[in-house]
Amino acid sequence: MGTLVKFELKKLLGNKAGMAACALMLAMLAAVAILNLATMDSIDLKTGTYVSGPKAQETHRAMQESHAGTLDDERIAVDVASFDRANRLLQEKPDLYDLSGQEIIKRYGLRFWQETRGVVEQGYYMEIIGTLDSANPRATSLRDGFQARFEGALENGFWGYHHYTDSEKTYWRDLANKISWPVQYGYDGGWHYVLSWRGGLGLAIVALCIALSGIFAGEYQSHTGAVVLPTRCGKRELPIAKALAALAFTSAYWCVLIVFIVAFHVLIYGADGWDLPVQVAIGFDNPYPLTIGQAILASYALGYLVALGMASLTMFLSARMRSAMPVAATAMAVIFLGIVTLFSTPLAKLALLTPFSGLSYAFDAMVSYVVGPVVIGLPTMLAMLYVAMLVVFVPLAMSLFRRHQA
Amino acid sequence: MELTFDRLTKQFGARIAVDRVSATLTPGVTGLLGANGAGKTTLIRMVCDVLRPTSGQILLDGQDATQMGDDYRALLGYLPQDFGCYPDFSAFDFMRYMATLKGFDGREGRERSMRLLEEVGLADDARRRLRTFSGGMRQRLGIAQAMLNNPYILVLDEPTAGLDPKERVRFRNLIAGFAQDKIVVLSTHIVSDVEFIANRILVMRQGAFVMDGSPEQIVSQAAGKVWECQVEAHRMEAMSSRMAVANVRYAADGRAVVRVVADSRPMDGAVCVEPTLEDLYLLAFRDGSNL
Repeated sequence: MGTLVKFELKKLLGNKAGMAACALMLAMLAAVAILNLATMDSIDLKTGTYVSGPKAQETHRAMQESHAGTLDDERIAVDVASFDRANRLLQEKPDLYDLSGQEIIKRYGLRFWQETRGVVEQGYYMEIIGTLDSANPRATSLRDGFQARFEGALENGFWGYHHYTDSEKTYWRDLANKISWPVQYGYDGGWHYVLSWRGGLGLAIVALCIALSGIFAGEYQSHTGAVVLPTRCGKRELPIAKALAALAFTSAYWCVLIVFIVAFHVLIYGADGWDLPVQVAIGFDNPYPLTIGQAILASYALGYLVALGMASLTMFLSARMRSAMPVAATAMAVIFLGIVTLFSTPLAKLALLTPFSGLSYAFDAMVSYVVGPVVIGLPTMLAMLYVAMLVVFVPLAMSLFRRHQA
Repeated sequence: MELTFDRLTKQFGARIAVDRVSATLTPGVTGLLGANGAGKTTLIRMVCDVLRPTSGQILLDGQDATQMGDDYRALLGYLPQDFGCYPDFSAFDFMRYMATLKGFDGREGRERSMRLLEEVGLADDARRRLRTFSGGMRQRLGIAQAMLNNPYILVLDEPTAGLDPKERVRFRNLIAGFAQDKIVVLSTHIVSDVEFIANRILVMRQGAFVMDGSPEQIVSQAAGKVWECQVEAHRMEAMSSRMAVANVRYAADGRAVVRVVADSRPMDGAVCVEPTLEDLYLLAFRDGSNL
């Protein structure tokens, strides 16, 4: 069996279109990481000037690090005071609204700009004060602000697409209650980008499906089915070896992908922030009681299950169809149709079960499914669905190949 | 060992490709002759368990081949008509892969692979990628893989396609030596492939066996129906459109010496000659043949 699996892997690696798709995916990943850095811009608080590229990254890092620490009530009070003071100073000079940062510095000096625009335009203050302002009157603790923002999202529904049932609301409240307060804040650098890349995993799965599209159909297309099937192991061990090779390839590809994503972003942006709460990276309306590190592990593990599920669907289609092209096209349609149907109200929740949309919103948006008396969150639903696909489609693919009439 | 086809039928929609054929094959070379579309490949695919019969059975020593499953396929060697291989594999890798599929892993698989490559004259090209192989080389590789497991039943569908005359002779000798105690089924529409090595010939037309016997018995059916005559060269075209012309050669005086297959003397002066298998083939597959 081991020898057969090796040969099947060799065939997979010989699929030029598939390997090109996987290589293109990795190249795109590298390009996006480099472009992110190259196009980044930020305001340097020390000089009030706009900087871009690696310099902007350094500035951004320094800014986030300057706010590092526990966001307890005392700290929040200090931040609110700074923010309110900045707004007060700005309101005292109404002519400032039309002025650029540089013009303010020229007219009132750098220190004035640092205490006003330098505060209110910072992402940190916008996120924290915005969260506190979700309560009316403004909350004095981040937890209360979070609670108000979170409840607002629950009332607002899934981006206004649907309303949560009482059991769903209870589910999300129970989850959110597990967040331990006060939370830590700091620079999340590379891990922020690694976590953001979970949406791109859907694209990585497209490349995987192209690579696997010929696993069975390739035998029919190249007329080798009639050579390999009428052999002693052709109908028993060979389909198993093919399935094992496809799953081994999926696993190896996933590992390489993770190594690439982590290596690029950690090398460029640093490895700080693994233990910070996921709210620092995603926003203070996220109900998941996870650290950024845990969210990354969960997202990529979920991505792996989705990849295995899609690999098994590809195997099934490959065993069913006579050429690799429609197999890859169908798998791509499944992945991309999810993005299109996401904007259609009745289909939005269904669309979130497709790889691209699902992985983008898992551990982010509050998406849940009511199945009888049970409420299932999007990540669990995705995991269950794609494991079920794996369990169903792999044996079906093997059986179809065994019964193929060459 | 006996391989029996028992009322074997294959239907594709309304079209019957193989129509209730029955025969029992014993060790030796059985030539399966027929025109394109006669049902040879469909029959062979059923024999090789890559196509399920619509009805009927294939029995090996009385045992249903379908029931035997892996045990039946372990006895098979098959070269399909459209022999496909993996262009990125070397010849040796391909043979090792096929050896593994046939249950010969490791050292034994490597030894068998190399020996067969030598037998078909591909030993020097064993490490070359198959994408660089010519049609003839691929066909020889196909023959080698079919014989890897020293099969009891060797089924070859159009095995000489793409082989040059020297390779065809080499192939015939290889098969003749191999078929001592094995059942070899050799499907072809090239008469000379089976003429010299087949012990038995089955002629297929429209999905059914229309002739069955030793080459001599088969050929004898054309006795008294093959004629040779001399005609003016300019009359050849008209003659070809009216009669089954087996051969034409031009004599030194410019007249055409024509070999004609016909139930009765085609013209005055025509002389009855000894038939060959090719004549019989023409007789069987000419329009409106009752054979």
